[in-house]
Amino acid sequence: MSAAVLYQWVLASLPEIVVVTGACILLIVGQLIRRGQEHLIVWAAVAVVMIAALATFLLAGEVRPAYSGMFIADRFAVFFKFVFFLATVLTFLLSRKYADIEGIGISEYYVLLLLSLSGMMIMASAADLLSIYVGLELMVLCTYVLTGFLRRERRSNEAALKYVILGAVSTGMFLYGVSLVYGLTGTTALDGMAAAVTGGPRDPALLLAVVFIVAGLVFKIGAVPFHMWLPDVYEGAPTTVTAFMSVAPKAAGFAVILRVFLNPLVAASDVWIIVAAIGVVTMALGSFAALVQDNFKRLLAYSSIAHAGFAIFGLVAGGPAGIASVMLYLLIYAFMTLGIFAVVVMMRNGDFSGEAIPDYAGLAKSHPGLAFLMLLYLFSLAGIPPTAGFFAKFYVLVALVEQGFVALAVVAVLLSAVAAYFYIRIVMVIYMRDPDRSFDPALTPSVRATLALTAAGTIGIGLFPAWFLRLAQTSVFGG
Amino acid sequence: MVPLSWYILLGVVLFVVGAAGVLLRRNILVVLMSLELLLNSVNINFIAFGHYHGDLRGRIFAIFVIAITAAEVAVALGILVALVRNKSTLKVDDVTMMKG
Repeated sequence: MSAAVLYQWVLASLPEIVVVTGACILLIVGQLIRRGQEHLIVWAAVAVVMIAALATFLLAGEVRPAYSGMFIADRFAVFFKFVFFLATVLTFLLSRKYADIEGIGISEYYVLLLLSLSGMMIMASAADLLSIYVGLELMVLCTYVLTGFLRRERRSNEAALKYVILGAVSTGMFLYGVSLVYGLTGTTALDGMAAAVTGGPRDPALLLAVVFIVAGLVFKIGAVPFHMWLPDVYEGAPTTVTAFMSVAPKAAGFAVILRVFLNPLVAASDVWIIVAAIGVVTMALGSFAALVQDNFKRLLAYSSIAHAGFAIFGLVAGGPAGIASVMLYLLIYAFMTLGIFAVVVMMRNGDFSGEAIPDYAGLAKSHPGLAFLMLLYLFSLAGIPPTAGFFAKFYVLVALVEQGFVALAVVAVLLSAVAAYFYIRIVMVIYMRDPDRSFDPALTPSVRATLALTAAGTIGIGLFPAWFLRLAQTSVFGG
Repeated sequence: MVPLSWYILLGVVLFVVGAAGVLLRRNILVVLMSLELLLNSVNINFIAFGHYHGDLRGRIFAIFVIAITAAEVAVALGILVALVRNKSTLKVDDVTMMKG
C-alpha cells in the first residue's frame, strides 16, 4: 500500500474523519468552557457539520471506493449524508434552549450527537457487512446514551434500558444472519457475495440468513414486528433527541437496507414478499394505534411507524424508480418531522410540558403564525397537496403501479386515509377549541431559523417536486 | 477433527438459550447475561466458518464483535446504574411505567 493509495482512501472518507475529529476536540474543549458560555459549543458543533458537508459536496463528483472494498463514497451515500447533516444541524439549533430548561446543556450532549452522525455516515458509505455493523453500533450506542440523558427522570431511564436491550437483541439477529451469509459465501463484501454463492437464490439456508439480516435492520427503522420499543423510547427520550432519532437513524437504516437490496443476490430471492407483508402490517399498526394516543410524542412515534411502512412500499417496488422514491420520501419526511418536533420542543417552557395533545387547544387564537406552521407540517405528514408530503407518497405509489403492484398501492392509499384522521384531529384541537391557558413558547432565534428552514423545505419540495425527484434519481444511477 | 456441523449446532443452541433468556427472565442482570450468550453464539459461528473457509475474515469479525459488545454492555450497565439510583429494583416489571 503506497502513500498515494492511502491519500485516496483518506480523501474518500474525509467527511467522516472531520466529524470524528471535531467530536473528539469538542469533548476536550467542552470541559474547559465556563458556565454561561455553552452556546460556543453549539456553534462549534454546527461548524463541524458544515465543514463535513462542504467536504462531502466537494468530493461528490466521482465514485471513490476505499479501505479494500470496505467503504465507498458515491452519490447514493452523498444524498443520505446530506439528510443526516440536515437533521443534525436542525437538532443542534433546537437543542440550545431546551437543553437549558431540562438541565442537559453540557458538551457531551453535542459530542454524542456528532459521533452518532459519524456512525450514520459510515453506514451510508459501507460496502461490507463489517463496516455496516461498525457504523450501526457507533450510531446506536450514542443514541442509547442520548435517550437516557435525563438521568433523574424515570421515564428516560426506562426508555434507554428498553432501547439498549431490544437493540442488542436486534444486533444479535443481524450478526447471526451475517455469520450465516459468511458461512455460505465465504465473504462479507456486499458485491462479492452474489458471485460466491453456489446454491442459487432459493437455497433455504440463504433465505434464512437474509431473513435474519432483514429482521435486524427492520428494528432500526421501527417496522413491525420490531416496533415495540419505538413509542416508549420516543416518549421517554428528551424531545430534541426524539426529533433526531425519528429522522436520522431511520434514514440510515433505510440507506443500509437499500444498499443490501441493490445487491442482485437479495433481489433474486423471494424476500420481497416478506418485505411487502412487513410494509402492510407496519402501516396498518402505525395508523390505527395512533388514533387513540393522547401524548404528542407517542402519536408522532406511531406516525413514524406508519411512514416507515409507506417507505417500505417503495422498497417493494424496487428498481431505480422505487429506490429514488424512497430516498425522496426520507428527505421530505426529515423536513416535516423536524418541523413538527420543533413546535413540540418549543412548547416545553416553565411548567408546561407540551406533550399532551389537549394542551394545544386554542393555540391559533394567541399564536396564529405558529398554528399555521403546525397546520402546514401536519397536512404534509397527512399527505395533502400542495405540501411536500403529498409528493413523497405520490412517487412511491407511481413506482408501485409501474411495477404492477396495484393492490398494494390501493392498500397504501386506504391506510393513508386512516392516518390523515389523527393529524387533522390535532389541527381541529388547535383551531376549533377555546384556549384554557396562555401559551409561552420558548421562541429563540435558532428555533425560528429551524421553523423557517423546515417550512421552506416542506413548501419548496411541494412546489418543485420534479427537481428533487431528479436529484434522487441521479443519486441512484450515480453508482 | 470435530466436524463443522457440531460448531453450528453449538451456535444455534447458544442463540436459542440467549433469546429465551432475554424473553423469559425477569431480572435485568440475567437479561444482560443472556444477551452476551446471544452475541457469543455469533462469534462461534464466525470462527468456525472462518476456519472452514481457511479465511481470516471470520476471526477479524469475531474480534470486532467482542470489542463492540463490550462497549454495548458498558453503556447498558451505565443506564442500569442511573435507573437503580432512581428506583432500586432489578425486576423488569417494576421498571415499566409506559404502556400503550
